[in-house]
This record gives sequence, C-alpha cells and structure tokens, in this order.
Amino acid sequence: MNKRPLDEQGAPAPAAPIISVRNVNKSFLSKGGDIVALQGANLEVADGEFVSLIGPSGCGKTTLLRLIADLDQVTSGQILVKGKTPEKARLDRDYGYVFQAPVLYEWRTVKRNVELPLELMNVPKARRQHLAGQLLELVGLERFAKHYPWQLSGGMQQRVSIARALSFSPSILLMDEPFGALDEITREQMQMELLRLWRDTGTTTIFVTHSIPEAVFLSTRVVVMSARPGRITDIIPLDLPQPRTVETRESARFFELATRVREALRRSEKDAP
Amino acid sequence: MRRLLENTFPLLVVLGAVFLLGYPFSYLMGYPLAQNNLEDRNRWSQQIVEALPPLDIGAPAALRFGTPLEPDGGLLVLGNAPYAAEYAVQADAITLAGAYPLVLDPFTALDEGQTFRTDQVASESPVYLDKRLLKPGYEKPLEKPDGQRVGFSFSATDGVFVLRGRLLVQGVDYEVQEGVLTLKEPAPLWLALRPEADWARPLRITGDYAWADDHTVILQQPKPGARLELAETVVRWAERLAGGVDGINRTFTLVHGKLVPSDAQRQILVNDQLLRADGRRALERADGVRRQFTFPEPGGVLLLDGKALELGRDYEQAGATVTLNEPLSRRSQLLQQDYAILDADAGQLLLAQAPAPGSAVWARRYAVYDKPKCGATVFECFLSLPQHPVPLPHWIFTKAPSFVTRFEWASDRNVLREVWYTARGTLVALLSGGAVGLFLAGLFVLIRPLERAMLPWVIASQTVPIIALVPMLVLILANFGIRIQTSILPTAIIGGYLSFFPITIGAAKGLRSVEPLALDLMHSYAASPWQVFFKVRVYSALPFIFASFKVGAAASLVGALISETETSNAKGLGFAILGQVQAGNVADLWILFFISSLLGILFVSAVGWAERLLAPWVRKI
Amino acid sequence: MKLNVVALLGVLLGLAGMLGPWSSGTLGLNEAAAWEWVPLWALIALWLLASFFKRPWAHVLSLTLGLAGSLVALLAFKSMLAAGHAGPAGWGFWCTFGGGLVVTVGALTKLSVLQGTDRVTRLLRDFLPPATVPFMLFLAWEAVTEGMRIPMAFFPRVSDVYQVLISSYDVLIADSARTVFKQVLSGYVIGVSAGVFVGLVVAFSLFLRRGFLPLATAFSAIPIVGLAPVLGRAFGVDWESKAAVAVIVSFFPVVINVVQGLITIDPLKLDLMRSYAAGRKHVLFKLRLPNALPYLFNALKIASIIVLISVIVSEFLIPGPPQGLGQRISLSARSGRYDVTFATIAFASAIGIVFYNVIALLERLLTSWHSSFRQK
Repeated sequence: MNKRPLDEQGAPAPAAPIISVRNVNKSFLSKGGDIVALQGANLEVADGEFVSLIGPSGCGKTTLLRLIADLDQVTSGQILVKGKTPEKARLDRDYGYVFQAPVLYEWRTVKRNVELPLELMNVPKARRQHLAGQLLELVGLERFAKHYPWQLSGGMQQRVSIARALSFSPSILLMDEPFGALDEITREQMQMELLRLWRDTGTTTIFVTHSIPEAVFLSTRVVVMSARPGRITDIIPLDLPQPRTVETRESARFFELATRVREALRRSEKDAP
Repeated sequence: MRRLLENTFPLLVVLGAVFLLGYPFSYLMGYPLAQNNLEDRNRWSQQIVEALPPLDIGAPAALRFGTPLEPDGGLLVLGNAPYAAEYAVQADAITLAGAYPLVLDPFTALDEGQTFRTDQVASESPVYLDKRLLKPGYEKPLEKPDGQRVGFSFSATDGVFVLRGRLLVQGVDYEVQEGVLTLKEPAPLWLALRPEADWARPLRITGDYAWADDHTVILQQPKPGARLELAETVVRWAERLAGGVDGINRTFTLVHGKLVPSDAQRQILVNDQLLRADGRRALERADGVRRQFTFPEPGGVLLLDGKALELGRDYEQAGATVTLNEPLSRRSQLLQQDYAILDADAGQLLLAQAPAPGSAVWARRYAVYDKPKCGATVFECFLSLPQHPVPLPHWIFTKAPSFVTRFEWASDRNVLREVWYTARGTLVALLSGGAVGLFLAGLFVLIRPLERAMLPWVIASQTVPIIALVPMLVLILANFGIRIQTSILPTAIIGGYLSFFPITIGAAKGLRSVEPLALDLMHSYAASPWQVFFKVRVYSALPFIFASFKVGAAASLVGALISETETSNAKGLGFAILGQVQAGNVADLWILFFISSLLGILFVSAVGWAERLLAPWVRKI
Repeated sequence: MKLNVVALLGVLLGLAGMLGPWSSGTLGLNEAAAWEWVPLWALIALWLLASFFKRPWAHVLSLTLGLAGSLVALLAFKSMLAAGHAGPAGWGFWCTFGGGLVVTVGALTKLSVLQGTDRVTRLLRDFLPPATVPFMLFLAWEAVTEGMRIPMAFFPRVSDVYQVLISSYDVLIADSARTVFKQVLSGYVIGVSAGVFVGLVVAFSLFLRRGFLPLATAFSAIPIVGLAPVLGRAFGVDWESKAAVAVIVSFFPVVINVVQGLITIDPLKLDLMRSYAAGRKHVLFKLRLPNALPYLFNALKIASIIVLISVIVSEFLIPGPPQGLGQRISLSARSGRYDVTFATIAFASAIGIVFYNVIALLERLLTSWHSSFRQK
C-alpha cells in the first residue's frame, strides 16, 4: 500500500506526473460520419492526487478514462501512464478500474469475485484469499464473503467491485461514476469510505462524475469538460482542508468552490458551438 | 449489398466444404461393402478350365493346339478316356501314329454366312469354321424376360445381338441407348419345364460365336461361303494332375488354383473312371448319440462339415459301414465323396483311393475363380457398387430433375404434389397445435394452480411416443366414421400433439414476462383484466410465441410425415419416403431428405416472416 | 367454516349414484354385497363431513377420501361384473365414481391456493396437486374402459397394462438396455461432446459463425422421418444408425446454444478482463465458459427429451433386429396388443423423465447461481 504525504492544502506534491495526457483526440467511426468524442485534451495528474472529471453527457469524460485505461485507443495524441504507454501500463496492471455497474460474475461468491484479478496474476491461493479477506474488511463486507452477488444490494455490490479494484494494490484507481446508481444517503456514505481508502492507501484516483458536490467533496482538483466536441475547458484546484468530513460539506469554502465549478460548467456550455 | 455478400459468402464456403466432404465420407461408408465385393470369392467371375480341342483339324495326323504343351503335364484324351494310341508331343503340336477319330457334323447356313443351323443339340462340342476352332462367348443381361419386358442392360451396346435363334437387326428389332437395349417386341416368357436357357434372353456376342438356341449358332462376323462344322467326337489335350502315382499317394494338385468349391460339373478322372464331385449321405440320421453310419458304397473320402476325416484317427470303416470316434451332432453334415478338396486355393485334392502305378489322373473340366466382377481395386469396386450407403454428392443434383419429373403432374405420386400434401398437413397440425397451445397457456397464466398441477405432466407427455398410437388412433377414428383417406384429422391430431407443447411453454412464459411497470401503468388507467390481457400481455408475449411457433412448426412437420407413413394413405412425402425405404435408390432417399428438410426450413422461415410482419417492433440482437 | 362448494357437488353426485342403476339389469347398488355398499355410504358421509372444514388437513383428508371413494366404487363395479352382472355401467356408477373425483378436485382447488412458505404448506400446495393428477387419470381411465366394456383390442385397461409390466418387465428392461444404453446414451454423449467442441471452434471465428450457424439453425428443423432412412442406409440397419440419429439430434441444439452462450456476454465483463490484462485462455475459462453453462444446460435438457423420442421413432423407420423399445412398440401395435404398447410407452416415458431430471439435477448443482433458480 502506497502512503504518500500530502500537504495541508491538498495541492499535489512536486514530482513527475504519474499520468500525462497530451493533445489527445478520439473519434469514433459511425454510419453518419465521424463522431469526435474528445478533442485536444491535455492533462497532467501527479502521484497521490484525487482528480475528478466532470461534465454533461457526451463531454468525453468516460472516453478519456477508457483511453487512459487502454480500453479504447487514441486517434491521435499521446498518453503516458507512469512513463509507459497505456497498453503497457495495462499489461503491467498498474491501475484498477471500477465501472458504472458492479460487473460482478454471478457464478462466483463475493470473495471469489474479489479474488478474480489476483487469480489472473497467478497469486498463490493462500495469499490471494488473505488479501481478499483484508479488502472485504476494508469495505466492511467481510460477513458476506460467501454470498452470491444477487444476494447483495446495489451499494454493497459496488463496494465489492471497489474492493476488487484495490485487491492488487494498484498505484492508480480509475472510477467511472461508481456511485451513480445509488441513492443519496448511501452515496454520501460511500464517498466517505472512498476518501478513507484514498487516505489510507495513497492511490492516485481519477473519478468521473456528473455531480458537482461529489466532485468538490472528493477531489484535490476538478477537471471541467464540455460536449460537442468533448474537450477540457477548465481545471480547478480545490484547497479544502484534509481530512474532509461531514462538516466540510457545509463549509462556506465548499459552497464557493461548488459555485465556481458550476459557473465553469455553464461557461463551457455557452462557449459550445 | 456488401453486408449481404459478407453474410452469405461464409455460408457458401461452409456449404461447399460440406459438399466436398461428402466425397470422402461416401467412400468411407462404402468401403467395407466394396472391400467385401472385392475379396468375397462368391462375387468373382469364374473361368472354366477344360481339356483343349485342337485348333486345327485340317491335317489328318497333326494336331495344333496353339499353346505350348507339357508332355508330362497332360495327356491326349478321347471322350472320357485317355487316348489309347501312340502320339508324340512337339512344342504346341502333337503328331499321331494313325488317324484319329473325328466326327464332324456340318451346319447349314441360313443366311449370308452368319446364322447356321444343325440338327444336333447344342453342346460343349467345339465348333470349327473351315477346320479352324472358334471360341464362343456372349454377354447375358441381368434382366429376365417376362413377356412384357423390352429393356435389357448390357455393358456395351455395339456389336451383334441375338435372341432365340435369331440375329437381331438394329432399327428393326431393337434400339440401343447408353447401355440399354430396347426391343421393339417384348422378349417372350420362358415356358418350358427345364431350367431357363441363357438364350431365352437377348445376348450380345462377345466371342467368335454363340449358341442362339438349341440348334442355332450365330457368328459375330458373317463369313459367307464358310463351312461350319460341329466336332462331336474329337481328341483333346487334358491336364494331368501333379502328384506321385505309386499306389500309396492320394494327394494330387491341379495346375490352376482358386477352385470353385461348389462346382458341380467338375470332372476329375482316373484313367477312364470319373470321380464324382458330389457327396453321398449316410442312411441314418445324426442325433448326437449315434456313431455308426452306413453309406451307399464302401470306401470314399469322409467329410465332416467339409473337412476330410482320417481313417484310423477319426473313424473306422468296415465295408460300407463307418464308425466314428465321436458321436455326430445333429447340426453336422457327414458326406462320403470320391475325392475331397484339401486346399481350394492351391487346387489340392485328396482322392479316396490311391491310384495304381501307371494310372493317369487327369482333369477334363473344372471351374476356377478368375477375378472380382466389380473391378481390380477397392476404389473400382466402390464405384461399381449397385447401392452406395451414402451417395456421391453430385448424384443428388444430377438425379434430382429426373426424380421430380418421374411421375406426371396429375398423379398423386408426383413429388411436388406430395410436398403440397405434406405442407397442407403441417399447416393444419401447426394451427391446431397452436390453438391448443395458446389456449392452455392462457389457462395456465390465468389459473396459477392449474399450471402447478398440470405442468410436470405436460412435460412428461412429451416423452410419450405418440407415434406408436397411430394405428390405434386410426381404428378409433374409423369407428366414429372418419375415414383416414379423406380426412386430415389424424395428421392434425398427431402433428398437433407434437407441436402444442413448445407453444404452451413459450406462450405461457411470454404472457408472464410482462414488465411490472407496464402492468402498473394499466392499473393506473383502471383497465379491466381482459384489457390488460389483450393490450399488454399479448403484445409482450409475441416474441416468445413466435419463437415457440418456430419449434412447433418443425414438430408439426415431423408429425405430418409420421402420420403419412403409418396410415394407409398413399399420399405425401412420408409415404414417398416409406416407399423408397422399402425399395429404393439411396440417392432418392437423400433427395427426399433434402426436400423434407427444405420444407421444414421454409415453414420456420415463414413463421419468422410472419413475425416481422405482425410484430415489427421486436428487435433481434 | 366455509363450505367447499365443489366438494358438496361431489357429495350430491355420490348420493345420487348410490340410488341409481350400476349395471344393466340391476336397480341399484342394493343388489350388491354388503361389503361393497357399506363403505361407500360411509365414505360419502365422510366427504360431506370433511367439506365443512377449511383446515389444510381437512383438504388432504378430503382428497384421500375422494380418491378412495372412486376406487371403492370401481372395485364394487368390478366385483359385480365378476358376479355375473354383465353390460356397461349405468348412470349410478358414473355418478358415484364421478362424485369421488369431484370431491378430489374440490380439495385440490383449496389446497393450491394455500398461502405460506413453510415446508408443509409448500408440500401441500406445490407437490400434492401434480402428484394427484396421475391417480385421477388412471382411475378415470380404468373406469371408462371397464365401465364402457371397451375391448382390449381397442383400448387396453390400466390393469391390463399393469399385468404386462409385472409379467414382462425383464423383456422391457432388455429392450431398454439396447435402446437406451447402446443407442440413446452413446449417441447423446457423442453428439453433445461434438457440439461443445464445434461450438467452441465456431464461437471464436466470425467466418464460421456466419457460415455455420445458419446451417445449424436450419438443420435443427430436420424431420426425423427424412433423416432416419438415409442414416439407415448409410450405417446399416443395426444399432449404429440409430445412434447416429441420436448424435445428429443432440448435436445441433448444443452447438447453437454453446455459441450463443460463449458470445452473449455483457461487454463490461469483457472490459473488466481487459483491464486486468487477462490472456485469452483466462478469458475463456473464467468468463466465457461459466457464462455459457446455463445455455449449455438449456440445450442439454431439450436434447435429452428429443433424443429418446428420435431414437424410438427411428427404430420404427429403420427396420432392424426386433429388439428395442421402438420395435416393441411398433410390433405390438401392429398386432393389436395395445397393452404391451402402452406398457412399453410407460416404460419409455419413465426413462425419459428420469433422464431429463438427471440433467436438471446436474444443472442445479453446477449452475445454482443462475437467475432462473431464484424465487420470483
């Protein structure tokens, strides 16, 4: 587990960026002509940061995440993850990906689902089971280890998928609207959990969301994106103090930053052709 | 357009591959039969080895035989006895001391030197043309004359044909086409009591001549002005059997091996004594206990189930009575013969008595196996199989057109009419099965307890082979006055039985798988249960219903075909298939198989088109 | 105390029947021996009593009594026949017999709407009704054939079929051994294995998918009647041709379903594997194969039913040695021995049910996680 000290403001520690996106364009071929999903994206993420990508539908935030994860390939431009190509990073298993849906395998118990990536990496059985147990404890689901996914609620399933993504201690965590399907109360609980995990492990996290409060609450920086074509319009550092608590949500600074993000979003809407 | 090509090209490739694979598969399936045909001696052609008559009877004291003569390997014989007088053998000729007895009967020429008649009855006696020996030979067709038949198949259709003593003229008496001789008048039926002579059928002359009836010889080439004579009595050169003639040795070997064991006309002689080829049975019957048997004659070779017994070791003999060491079981056969075949392949015989020194042991005539009739290799025999287990793929295409046009359009046996009849039956079965299925499904959905009680048994009902009950069904229906010939009811019942089950299950599942929200919407409109049923459930059930109708269509076809095979109705594809099973050509069976499969595919596709028409909103992934 | 209307109807029928003629020439059941009509009156009285209660045990009792009543009526009728009263049954018999069945149905309707999920209730509601159906069926069958004096050559009685079963079960077992083990099982195993293998190959090649799958779907519509004769010619009339039928019939559903199962996967699950840089072998064994199992079992169940029938039918169509279930059915039907026919059919059905349930059990063991097993 990575522990990296962060200064009080939550600003990134000065070091080489762990993820660098340079002039990346992505287009999809379709019957009606090319769809430009992402245009001229530039971004640098330092080690240990929590970066949110926020924007309306079609702004390319999921696309950008998938490009970093090598689940899709860039049309032009360059992405470097830990100094390597995304493909190499993927083959080296440098990141964990959490999808919008839990994507658990129905035929495996909760514990075996968490063990899946470890099995693929040929981790010996005893160690594998130990790690999976630890992670389930981390997300508070150790009692459900032998249950099947369909026996768990949506929030619990999503927690399992987070545990799975962390099972092999990747240095980077990529999350695509993981709490989108949950209700508000559960979501806030999950956000606290996630922050705790982030603090304990120091994993660089890139988090896609379309909820402004969520983005502001969780991240050290917010990347504002707009649609048609998808592009990055603004990057706002958030200097809310760490550790963030329930009170943080009610602080004036929180409100200011949220407003700033909202305005940035509105501006990018207007600027859209 | 490109999508269409993209989708059909792989299909065509796979179809082509399956077609090509049909060839090795056909060979593989036919190989055992072909190999059997090749190796089974009973399927080989036979050759007759007999004492040679001289080629030339012109010179009085010199006989030419045409083949080199081995002085010790043979002897000159006259009739059934060795030739008494002196003679000298030189290469292929023999010179005699004095004149040899030669009785010739002249033929009368009936036409321009091709048809000849004699008062003598046809025999094995050689025929000489201007003192030179002629070789007989003819080909006999497989078909027998029955008074009505006009078509006879031959291996070739050029040449000279004769029938019942007459030379047949092309165009006047017959036509030929591709291996088939078609007479203008049918060949008459053989009415005599004696076994049918070969010349009762039309013959194709392959040698120099052939006997066209008891008194007529027809030459292959006309020889005007020639003198044809039948040599009733003539000397011949016969084969001497190898083996020591010392009064003790009883084993002798013929020159040619591969004897035909069942040859009843084999003539082996010691001096002038003919050894009979057949065996004699004992007077008493075997009963598993008896060991003593009496034969009509003393001596002889004893054969138990074809194997020679040894005197002293296996039995004792006193005159005509024989006492075996072991009792004879009821199934065994004990025969007494003048000689036994020790080794048919090598041509080795065991005589009953050792010939006295100085005797001549010779063969006048015997049959040997020549070669397989089907061909020289397994492959050739495969090609010449009369019935292939799996036909070569291209035959299905080449025979299809003749299959369709075999019966004329108006006849019930016409293939297209049969297809139509079966299709009609399938449709009726599908509709009735569908009606029952939908009704049951509706019932099940509306009355949950009924489903729980009946469903396991509905499933179990599918394991009952309804087909067995078809005869019973026919009887019951007849009792109620419904005749199967005119009614489509049996087809409907059987096909319907086979198809109702998948439709019930599919429709019930479909009627149930409505989105709960859609139901809630209807409730918010205060819709009645009937309205809910017809406006929501039925629509959401349609994809399932159509899918199950596809399965039902296939099942209805099977039911229709089966009811056609079992009832005595002479219509439909099922009937055609049954007919071909009992009599027919494998290629025809495959054609029927493809036709019935195509019909099935057509029905299933039709359901698919109906679905696209009636439920266009359904999205196919 | 709610009245069970249906059961009451049954009681009335039963009563009416006791007063009417039971066979030709008799005025009523009174002419029968006392041991016959006494229990019947008693049973009818009990029916009446039980119909007044609404507890589950009352329904179970009612059900049992109803069946018992019909049975006793039937036995009484049979003994009357034996005592010399000839002829078809009169309406009295039908009423009393029918009354018993109506009482049973009444009990069933009450039982099948029981609420609750405890074991006893589930047993009574889900298991008892289907289990009762065959008893009612057999009673009705026997009554109709006996009561209407249907000759055996026309339609056999249950008792006739039963006789055949107990006297000739060794022959039937030998037949089954031949049909089932040699032909059905060997063909099924070969067909399924080939289907899985070809399914794996086809699923991974787009070319083959486009080329082969349409053929496979088309060929699942092959009628057995067309297929069996050509296979009979190809393989000879002995067991090999029937096993070949079994192979083909099991092959196609399995191929189609295996391919479907291997490629119908939630794309996110595939992305997950990709994010783990999982090799193709891992993806196959950890994702595609488990995903395909439910589809495979679906095909296995369908095939298990079809294969038995197809082999039996092909025994009709391919003349061969006169052993085997299909031949037995065909021969006995042709010679009018319908009792043997039915006995063989019953045997074949039992085997089919067992076969199907073995596969279903296997399915439950191996794919218990699948959504189709959850209570809705």
